[in-house]
Amino acid sequence: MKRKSGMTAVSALLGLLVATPISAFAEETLTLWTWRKQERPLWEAVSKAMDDVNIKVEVFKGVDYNSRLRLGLQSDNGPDLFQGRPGASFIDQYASAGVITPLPATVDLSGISPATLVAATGSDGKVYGVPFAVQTVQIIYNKSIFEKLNLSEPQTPEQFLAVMKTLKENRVIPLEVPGRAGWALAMMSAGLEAGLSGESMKQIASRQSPFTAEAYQQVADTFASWKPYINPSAAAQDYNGMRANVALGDSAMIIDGLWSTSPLSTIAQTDPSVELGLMPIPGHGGKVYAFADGAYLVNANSAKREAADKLLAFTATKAFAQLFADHVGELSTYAEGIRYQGKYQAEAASFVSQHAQPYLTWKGPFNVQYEEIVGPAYQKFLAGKVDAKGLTQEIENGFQAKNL
Amino acid sequence: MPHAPSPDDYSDDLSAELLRSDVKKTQGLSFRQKEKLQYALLLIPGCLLYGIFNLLPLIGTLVLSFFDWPGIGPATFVGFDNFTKLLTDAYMSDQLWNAFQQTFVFFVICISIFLGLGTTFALLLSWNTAGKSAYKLLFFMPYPLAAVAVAFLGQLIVDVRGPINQLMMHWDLISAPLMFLGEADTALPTIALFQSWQKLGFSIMLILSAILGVRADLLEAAVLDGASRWQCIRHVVFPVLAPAFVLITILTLVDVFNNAEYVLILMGPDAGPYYSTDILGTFQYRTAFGTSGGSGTADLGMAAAIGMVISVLILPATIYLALRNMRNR
Repeated sequence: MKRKSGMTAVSALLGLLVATPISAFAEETLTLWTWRKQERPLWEAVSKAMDDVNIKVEVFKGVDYNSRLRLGLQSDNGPDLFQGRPGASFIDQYASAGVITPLPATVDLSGISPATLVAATGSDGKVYGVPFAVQTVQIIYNKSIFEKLNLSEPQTPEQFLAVMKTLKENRVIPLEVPGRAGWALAMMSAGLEAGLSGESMKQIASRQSPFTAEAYQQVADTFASWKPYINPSAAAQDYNGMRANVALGDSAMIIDGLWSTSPLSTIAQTDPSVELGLMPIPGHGGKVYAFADGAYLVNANSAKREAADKLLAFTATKAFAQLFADHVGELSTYAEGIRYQGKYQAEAASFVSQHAQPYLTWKGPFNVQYEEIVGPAYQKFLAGKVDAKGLTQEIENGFQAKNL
Repeated sequence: MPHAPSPDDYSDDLSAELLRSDVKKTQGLSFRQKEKLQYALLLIPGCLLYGIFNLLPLIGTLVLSFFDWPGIGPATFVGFDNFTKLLTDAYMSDQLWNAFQQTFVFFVICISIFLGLGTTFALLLSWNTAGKSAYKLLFFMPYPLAAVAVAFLGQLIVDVRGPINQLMMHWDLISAPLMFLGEADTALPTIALFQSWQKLGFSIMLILSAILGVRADLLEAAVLDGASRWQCIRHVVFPVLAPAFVLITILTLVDVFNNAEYVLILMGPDAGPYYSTDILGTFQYRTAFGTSGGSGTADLGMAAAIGMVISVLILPATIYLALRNMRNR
């Protein structure tokens, strides 16, 4: 009797030992590296939706991401998939290192908005990944301050100046600018280009005209005319400080990207109850700067290449795009048919469909150089070392020095 | 009973000498040789450590400076191109000389505080000052703190909403808050002050131990001869402090020219506002790993070239000081 129950116990244990590894093999674990923590809920949902794959997301700080990625991709502990920064200047580096390869035929890009494909295209014209997230650069403002002072969204540059004047009289900083973050100044410049100049920037973006041309000079001149309404310690303000200030109500408006409206961003973390409003930068250009924030890429040296490619193909589908819209709260790169339920998404989606600018400077083919030149030039301007004319000359000199 | 011949058996020196050398050969290593072998064995661990962690990376950096490598992918050999570009291309050489000037200013501020304030406090601690053990503890406490903690604390103190500005405004000394870290003129000195505050304790201890090493009988003789306190300090104590001063200068020189922790923590690799806090360490970091926007390109070959230039810049000063110190002994 004892022997029989003993044998039963042992066979049950053996059965369990054999069954457990088998069930584990049924699910493949893929790692995805990113700098965007807002992607976590999305990939949890994708893991649930897909039976045979489990995606582990590793988030690194934006500042360290590129360095970590380079190190990881050269070792055995690298990711299976990763998010890449947009533009040929990023893609080329990794393509020449053999870490990414052009997309296989199994990935169907027909549903993706064609304008966003440039984020995943190298200078050889081949597409290496699937673009994600359309971001917009616009004015994000504290709605409660506007309501308190009975202000409505200005539609013209003159109305904008009047609004800023009222805000200043009521001891609120009208526009907060992050002077310490060069890249955020480049973002601001891009937003101003679209709103104040619009289509006339096309010539400058394709480098047929210099930055000292009228299309960009008027951007610099207008920004200079706003100097009395910008935070006095602009040169000392950093990016998160700027976002915290608009959340706290110390400043009314910031020029920032759509990602800052996410519930995981600094603004929501500073004050979860803050009401934000979005508006295009009022100007004669009438456009809103929109771009794809990067691309999902597969590590060509990954041990689980097949599964990774399958997952990449899924990111180009409508089902994934809807999950993206629902869980990340940003705009997906899928062209049509996505329902946006978030407060700010629908508004931003209308900006993109009606007012998107038809060229790219920031986050475009020469993204790296744009940030390296425009950021410090604006810092020089904010420090009072150059005037508006000097600012455009600095930028043009910088591009010339880089043979662009 | 016959015994083996010994040198004492012989009266003439040549035969004695010959026998002595034979005796030596048969008895293994001499004392001298054993002594030298001991020295070598004791030095080997130190040399190995130094070789692996200092020399090898230095040689590696030298080799890397002849290549163009973006951190991933193939590395192309470019010979002296990196150095040529660094020294002649306007974009790079402007940044290099700006960084060098600012590093020098940073160094001067740090060394003035270390030697000036350090000596003053060390002197005060060497006398019968009331509560001097408590002071010693207080002076040395910042030293083991992490640079991140000190930088963060410093930033809070000089912030526009921080205590310095608020107190000055409360006492009507200023009408608008001063942007210590926001103005191009004050940012670098402010950061230099943070670093000096943290590392002052070490200089005080070094100088204090040198002061305490002054021979008491020399001081007594000076006092008996009628020297005042200041004359004692100037003519008896200070000459003895020279080695300590040299050591502090060398350590600070190497630290300021090689490391950039405070600037990187407070201002990031962009070293704002507008490169006014850019020192050689941040210039190298920015070239190696890109700017804070995350889109910057990495150019590790160029960064290695910058590293070699930095070494060349500080090497003469360090060697001169070390030699001078050795000669004075």
